[in-house]
Amino acid sequence: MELVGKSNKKRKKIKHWIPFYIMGLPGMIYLLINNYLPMVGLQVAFKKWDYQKGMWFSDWIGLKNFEFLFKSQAFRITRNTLLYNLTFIIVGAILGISVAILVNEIQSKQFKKIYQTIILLPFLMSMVIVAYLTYAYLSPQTGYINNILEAIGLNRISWYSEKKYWPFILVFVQQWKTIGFGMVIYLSSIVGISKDYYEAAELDGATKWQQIRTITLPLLKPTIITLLILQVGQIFRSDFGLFYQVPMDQGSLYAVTDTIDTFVYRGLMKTNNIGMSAAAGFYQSVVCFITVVIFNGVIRKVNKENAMF
Amino acid sequence: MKIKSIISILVIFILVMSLFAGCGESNDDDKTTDSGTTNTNGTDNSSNDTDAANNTDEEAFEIVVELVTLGQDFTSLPLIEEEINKITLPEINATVKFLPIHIADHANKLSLMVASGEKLDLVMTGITTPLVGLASTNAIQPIGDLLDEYAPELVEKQGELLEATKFNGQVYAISADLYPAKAGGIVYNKEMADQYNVSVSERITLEDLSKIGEQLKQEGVYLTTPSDGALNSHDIYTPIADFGGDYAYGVIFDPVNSTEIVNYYASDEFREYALLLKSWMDQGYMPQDALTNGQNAQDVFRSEQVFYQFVNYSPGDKVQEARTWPFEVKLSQASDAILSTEVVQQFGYGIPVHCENPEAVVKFLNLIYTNADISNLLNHGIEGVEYQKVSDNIVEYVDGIDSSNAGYVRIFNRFGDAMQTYQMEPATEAFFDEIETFNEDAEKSKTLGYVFNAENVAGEVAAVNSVVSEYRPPLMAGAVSDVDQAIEEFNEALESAGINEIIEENRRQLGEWLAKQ
Repeated sequence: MELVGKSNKKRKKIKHWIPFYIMGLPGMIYLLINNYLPMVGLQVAFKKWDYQKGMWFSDWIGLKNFEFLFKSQAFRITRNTLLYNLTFIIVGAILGISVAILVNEIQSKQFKKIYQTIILLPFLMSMVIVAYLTYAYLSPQTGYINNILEAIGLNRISWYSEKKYWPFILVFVQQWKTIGFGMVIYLSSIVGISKDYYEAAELDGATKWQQIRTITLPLLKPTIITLLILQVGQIFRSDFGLFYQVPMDQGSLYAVTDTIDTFVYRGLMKTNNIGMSAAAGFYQSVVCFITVVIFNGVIRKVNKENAMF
Repeated sequence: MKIKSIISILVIFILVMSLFAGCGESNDDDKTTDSGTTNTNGTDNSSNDTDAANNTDEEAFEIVVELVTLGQDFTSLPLIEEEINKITLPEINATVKFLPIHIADHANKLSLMVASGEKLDLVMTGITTPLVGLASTNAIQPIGDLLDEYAPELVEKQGELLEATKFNGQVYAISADLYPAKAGGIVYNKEMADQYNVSVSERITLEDLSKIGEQLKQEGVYLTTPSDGALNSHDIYTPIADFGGDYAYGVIFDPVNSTEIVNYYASDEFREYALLLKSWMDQGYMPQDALTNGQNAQDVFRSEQVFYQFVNYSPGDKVQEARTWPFEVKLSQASDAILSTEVVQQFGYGIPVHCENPEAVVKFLNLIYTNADISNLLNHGIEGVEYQKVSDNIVEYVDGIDSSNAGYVRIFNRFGDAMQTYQMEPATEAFFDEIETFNEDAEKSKTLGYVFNAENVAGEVAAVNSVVSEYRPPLMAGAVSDVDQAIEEFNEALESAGINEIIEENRRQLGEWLAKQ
């Protein structure tokens, strides 16, 4: 009797879940074809590409394709990529949460939507347009900033040949562009926080800042950590548009704007070397993967339920 | 609510339809050319036709020819194909189909099509797709034997040009231009010269240009601009052999007389040139924001903001340039005419490795260079539709048509034997003698036929290219504050990127090649 009962239960369970699996099937098939199947292409990173022999029969050459990534400028490009990404993550989190909290405080529903749209708009712009917007400000001859500087009596600055300003310029531009995205995610979490907490805190006499510190932030922790893990997973990649277009591909700025992606692009544009391009992508993917796993492991040790897997 | 269900059904419908958006012809042939191709003669090809096209009972083989363009839609292509097929079908049992490709996509498209096996039978090598790269990765196939057997007339016309399209001892391409000798030169705005009383001699030097720059500065006009498309290439003013490496593989100064490979960026010539450009920038002959304003040199010249721009100099280029600009221009020669591997390889034709019937393609190539009708069709289009005759061998666009609205314009391809092809105005009947003399007088580089294979130093090449793209543009635009210091840093970076290894490899290969001569 019991056995029948059990299998009935199981059948009911399966029956319950089948529609969902079917619904998810196209997506899973897509994931399989688009993300997992091409993994066989990773072998190209270790081969000398020959059109006639194709992917399967081209000759193996071991790690030779990876050499160029570790030559002269390896330190510089890795340093730039990592440091910029870390800055983006930290500054992005602080700014994103702040803006989300501020937008949340807005009383008027209409203005809330208006502000959200305005803040989110730059995220949808193409980086090329952003590059030219920046150029409008920073152009040595006709830029707004130089004109203002001259008007108040200071010297014009040749922005595109001075390295020292660019870490700040790039962080500023990147934040301007992406803050909307973070804001939307944090805002959606904040909105989900029950108003009761805040009312109780006010009754107890907590200031706004104390409320934020003790209610909002702790309850945002899961969101923050999830976003953090996702961003750390991209830490060896960079927004190509940001580092190539915005500095207008100026050689004098490479020391502070060259990242792994732009280095690979510049190095391989002329030679069309498929093996080396594959090697660069492979290197980035592997390192990102290792970073995510390590980071997730660390989070797990600290607080098991916040870890992603 | 009814509205809600209507909207939801509409949304579902749109979503389902968008699923099918991706399902289209994966065959590139239909995408760009008019799908109404009138292959009136012969049946449309069967790509499984692997047997030789010698047998005229076989189905005609369709040759897909790559047309490198600037993206325009050419409405006359089907008509031209039809006219060409009238000749090729009886002669070689093949039909021709054009595949227009934008030059910016050219390298990528070629790579993808070869890798995926999409039908493509004749490709242009050179400009964006260096021959060495295509040959060393087996993207194109060796055609030496095929040429000897199926295109003997073409081989004779090519003569020693076939030496320069070899790789590892085998011929991989033909020179598209039978008279490829080139000199360095400048194209300048004649109207501007007349307006400001500037005299420009037929043969010009850098000193002359500096003086003109000074004269123009008084009038408030820039001499030239180094921006994007025209980074002040040194080899305009003095012949330099760079083995296709953009000076990164080491160079030979004066390749007509010497075979010594040196590091261009460590040379005195480079230093002097960089100092000159800096003086031009300091004195205001070049616009200050040239590097950053994103305008390319052609547009700047077209809008008449600068006086000159550099070009290749040859009788053909003189005609070409005269037609390109909306104002009157003249060319001046800046360096001697030379026949070198680099100029020969600039425009070539190769056959992709996956072409199923290379014999037919080679026969077609032979036709292009021996049959005047085909050459004229490929160069000018159809008589009466695109062009009209002005004299025996000179033609001009039909009234009301120009390069922006013609049904067909040959942009980057080079077709046919110039001697038997009509030339466009302002060329005159004297053009044919001019081009013959120009090529005969051109000096031969000592390295004609030598090709550098950079496979072994691919890593160093990538690193060096990256360093070059960092340091060279500011130097070539005169935008550095201290030229000597910049050059020193530049060379340090180059050395750690491995430029000396590349030069050593180049010297070694050159030595081997010279020994075999």
